Amino acid sequence: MRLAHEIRTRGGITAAVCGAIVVCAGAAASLTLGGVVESSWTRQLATTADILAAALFVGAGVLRLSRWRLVRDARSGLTGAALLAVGGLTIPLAGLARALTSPESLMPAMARLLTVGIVLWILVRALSERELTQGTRSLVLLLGQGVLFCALAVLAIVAGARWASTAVALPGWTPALIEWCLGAAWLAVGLLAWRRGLQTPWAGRLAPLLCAMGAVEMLRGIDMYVAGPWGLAGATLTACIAGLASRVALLDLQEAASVEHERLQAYEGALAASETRTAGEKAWREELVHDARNALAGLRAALVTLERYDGRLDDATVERLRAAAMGEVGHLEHMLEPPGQQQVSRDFSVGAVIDTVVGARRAAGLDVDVHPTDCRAHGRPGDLATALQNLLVNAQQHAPGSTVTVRAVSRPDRIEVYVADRGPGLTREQSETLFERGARGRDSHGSGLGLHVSRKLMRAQDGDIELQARNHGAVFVLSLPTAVGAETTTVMPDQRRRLHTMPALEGAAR
Amino acid sequence: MMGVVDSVVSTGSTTVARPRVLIVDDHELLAQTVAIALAAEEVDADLADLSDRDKLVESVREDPPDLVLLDLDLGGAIGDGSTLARLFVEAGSRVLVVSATEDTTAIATAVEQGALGHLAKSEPFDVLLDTVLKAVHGERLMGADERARMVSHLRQVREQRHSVLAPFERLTDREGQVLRALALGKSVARIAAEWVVSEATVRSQVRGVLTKLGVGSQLEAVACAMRAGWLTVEE
Repeated sequence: MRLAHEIRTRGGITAAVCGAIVVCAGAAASLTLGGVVESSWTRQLATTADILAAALFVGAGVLRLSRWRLVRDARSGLTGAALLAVGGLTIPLAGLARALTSPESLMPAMARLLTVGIVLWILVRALSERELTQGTRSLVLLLGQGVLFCALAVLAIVAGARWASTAVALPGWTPALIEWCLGAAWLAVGLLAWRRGLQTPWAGRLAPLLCAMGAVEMLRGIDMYVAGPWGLAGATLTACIAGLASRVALLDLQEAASVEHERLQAYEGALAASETRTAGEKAWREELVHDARNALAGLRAALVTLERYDGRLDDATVERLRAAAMGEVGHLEHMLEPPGQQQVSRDFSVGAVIDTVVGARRAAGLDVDVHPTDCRAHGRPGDLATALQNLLVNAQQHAPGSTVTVRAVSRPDRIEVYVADRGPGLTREQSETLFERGARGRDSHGSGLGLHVSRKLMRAQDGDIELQARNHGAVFVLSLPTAVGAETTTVMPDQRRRLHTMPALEGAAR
Repeated sequence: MMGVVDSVVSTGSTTVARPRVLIVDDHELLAQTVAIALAAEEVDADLADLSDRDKLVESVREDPPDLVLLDLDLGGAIGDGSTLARLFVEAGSRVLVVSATEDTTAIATAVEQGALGHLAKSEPFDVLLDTVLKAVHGERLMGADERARMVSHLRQVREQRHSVLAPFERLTDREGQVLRALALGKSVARIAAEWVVSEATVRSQVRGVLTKLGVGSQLEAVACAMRAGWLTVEE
């Protein structure tokens, strides 16, 4: 893009310099040859330049309209229309005015006045940033109608005078005055463009062209007042402006096309990525459905078994099955929680979590000794509760009858919760694979949510779970960051990825 | 077919013929419940240790149970269950697929490899248990017709899959990498920058991909790869 802009700037300067040289040379040649060469010759040259300019303007207008078609940019559309009007109407009308002699020349001059007025209005619209208010719009409409009415009135007077064969002596400088007025109008719009150029470079680039058009009108006016080489100079300058305008229009179109192409490619890339993402989400959903189905099948099986073999199962088995079913219900709940709720970490009281979980386990017959604490940690209380409950259930199974001690300790930047039992402990071999997925002893009848999942849950909130002693009873340590103090919540990054490996899902599948 | 006879254990004067079932399922609640229910039906049921695939296969080889209840999505260390079916059948066990999967291809593969049949976990538990008991006692679960139909369907699916994937096999390694990068939403310019090659090179590789797959745009190519299953989303 920068490149295109540089090219345009350089090309624009070159063209402007060439144009100036041509104009100066043309004017100088016309002035020196004024006496020698017939004025019809300069007129012919001026007409050629006009035709060239008209063709170039029409071309530039078409290019601008193409750009408008491509990028749907209102400015391009308006500028295109203005260029087409200049090339197709005002220049031919100027030629007509030159070809006819007074007083008929007033009529094309009037028509030209109108078309230039419309062109300038379009340009002002293109340059103005906002939509006009209702009041301004009516005022402008009124002004336009006034001008139109005046022009028609003058034409009517002239026509009427001719019909009555009474010569209405319009002063000789009338056409020249019209030209000068037009020139002033062009210059005014040029000034407006220059001012707008401070905000939009596009308008800044337009300003010199508009001012040059003003100069052309001035030259034309001088030519009408005192016939000379001015007309030729004006026509040459117009041709230069037209060339410059079409060149700029071409470069703009090229740039728009390449930008459009890049944008299309970017869209295509984004669509392809979204296709991939959709496929990923579909896979995750399938996994979720599969896990939910598994969980339901397990629950149904447990309930039917409890009913079908009622009285034939020993109490320990019944209790085991009940605990497992309760655990499954917990997973199902966890699985169906809205993702947003699962991801949010906050400050919470560790003591409250311990009390809730321990209360439930005590009801299930576990002897738990809790050291009171007022520690506050930063994390997800629900996940800490799951991990803690899991440890307590494990202790109940592997160290039956043993008292379990739960104690929270505040370290400089972490809160640690020790869960110790006085059971047989774990062998080195066991402790190595303890946290791996699928690891469980032959006699294990866990609640279904393994230590592997506990570790995942703890690590997902910047904490951890470790086994400290393995010979004389097992001591597990749950750790979490200390509370940050302020009421802040942290949302886990990259939700989808987290969702995909959501511990709850795996827990449920176990 | 190996039968109940295998597991007849003679202990002195009394002969106890309790059939043995191995439950290979990573969903513990269901596995446990089935084990408890089977125990109540005078069937020995063990839960398989799923931490090591080789150990699992080895233990089945050493002492094949009468029946293996096999889940198909085992995850973790075990992976795809359908390939286990053959190993268990070769070891001399009968295999019954009990899974929540709806992937008929995986089920048909297991049946082709010698599984007795398939039992959906969504079946009522009574039906589930009765079917397992039938299988334990050596009853047939699936007619020859049904089995043949399943296998022929599987063959059809495989052929279809093969023909869908054929165009992708014609891609060069580099073209495959380009297609994967496109699927991640990378632009040609970014791919070129990452691989330190010119954009023209990547563009010609993209053209190669489009031509070989017979598609018109990069998006279509990615969608085509996803649909054919050539590209899967890995996390």
